[in-house]
Amino acid sequence: MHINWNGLGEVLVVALTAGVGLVVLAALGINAFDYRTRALDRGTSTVVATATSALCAVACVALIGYGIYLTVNK
Amino acid sequence: MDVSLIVVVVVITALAFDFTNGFHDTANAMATSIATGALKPKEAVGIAAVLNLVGAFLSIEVAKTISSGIVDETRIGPAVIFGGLVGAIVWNLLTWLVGLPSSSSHALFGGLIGAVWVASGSDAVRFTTVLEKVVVPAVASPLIAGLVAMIATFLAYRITHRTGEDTRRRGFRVGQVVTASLVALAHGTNDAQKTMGVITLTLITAGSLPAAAGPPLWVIISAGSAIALGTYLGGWRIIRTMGRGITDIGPPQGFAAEASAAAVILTSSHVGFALSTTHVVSGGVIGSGVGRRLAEVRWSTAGRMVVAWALTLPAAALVGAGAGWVAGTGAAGTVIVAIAAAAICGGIYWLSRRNPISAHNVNDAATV
Repeated sequence: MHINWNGLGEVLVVALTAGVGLVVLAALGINAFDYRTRALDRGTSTVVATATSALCAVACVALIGYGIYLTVNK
Repeated sequence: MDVSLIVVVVVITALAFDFTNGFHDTANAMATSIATGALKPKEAVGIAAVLNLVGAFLSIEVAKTISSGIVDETRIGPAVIFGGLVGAIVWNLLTWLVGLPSSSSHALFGGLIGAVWVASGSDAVRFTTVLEKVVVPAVASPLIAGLVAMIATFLAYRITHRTGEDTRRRGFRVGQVVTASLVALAHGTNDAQKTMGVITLTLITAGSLPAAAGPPLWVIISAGSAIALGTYLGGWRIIRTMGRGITDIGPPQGFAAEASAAAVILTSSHVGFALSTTHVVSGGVIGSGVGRRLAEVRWSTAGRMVVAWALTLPAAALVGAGAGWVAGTGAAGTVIVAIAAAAICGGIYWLSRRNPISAHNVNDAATV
């Protein structure tokens, strides 16, 4: 019997990176967005928070887009 | 002789299987979104249905083998395919009745193994391939998805522990809907094409299509529609178990579970593992429960689920063996099996009416 350990390892590493990466990016983005809302209320600068949340959003969209690309071009 | 009768019966049965495949697997994509309220139940199954239909048309590569090499394909005749499909449908309905998510692909493999076994003997079944291609990925994939979801859930709560509750809930709900949709799309490209492959290969064996032909348009349309219709009707019993039964899911967990499942499904199909969406998503949901607070998972429900997974191959094989054997005796046998299968399905449906679960009460309890 031949078990494809390399394949399993690849799935583990890539899924771990992509899955955890996506969730972390989203969490950071949500965090930054929340910070931005509170900064707006306080009247302090929102530049960094806005940029961070936008950057995270773009990264998430890119990851998901790559996922759709993989699904469609199997 | 009655070649045309058995071919017609196989096509109808394949579409019926496709339909059960759809409603059995709605939960994979949408149970977590329904449980957290990210989507209303009817919205969720509607989105999943459309994406399954789209997926059916998107998929370029239609399954070229019925069994992915787990049985000797030269010994597969229409009666064997019919028996295998009946075994898969009966097992899918039984697990639906008790609300347990189980793999439709495993049910189909099991049914085929049983039917080939009685038709051609045990040497027509390639047990090593079954182990390598079915059993090992089935054990490994939920563990991987569970690990990924556990870490992702832990980090999601850790990073946002000071974030306003409202922002957090809304943000993760959006993410949840997107990742759930990705799972639904991936499901459509995988599972609808399985049925297309079964029908196409049956038509080729019967001489209605030239060898190595692709699926005719009517096969693509009917298979896509059957899985979409099944998805839209929603296997509410399984959605309840997956969304409420295993653990109490919050939006960050639902997002982590579907993101992990999508990552594992897409990576595996890239590497070439034929794995079960059901196993992967269940693993992700359990992992998201463990990652939030230890021991929040209802291990008894998870345990029952794992028992159902282990039983899927042998149970579907038993039914498939019986059905394939009777159908192999000729036209009368085929008709008897078809009537018996319809009666069993009707009986299971009647039993389910004693405790109906629908879009209206799916979130009301954690058990079926």
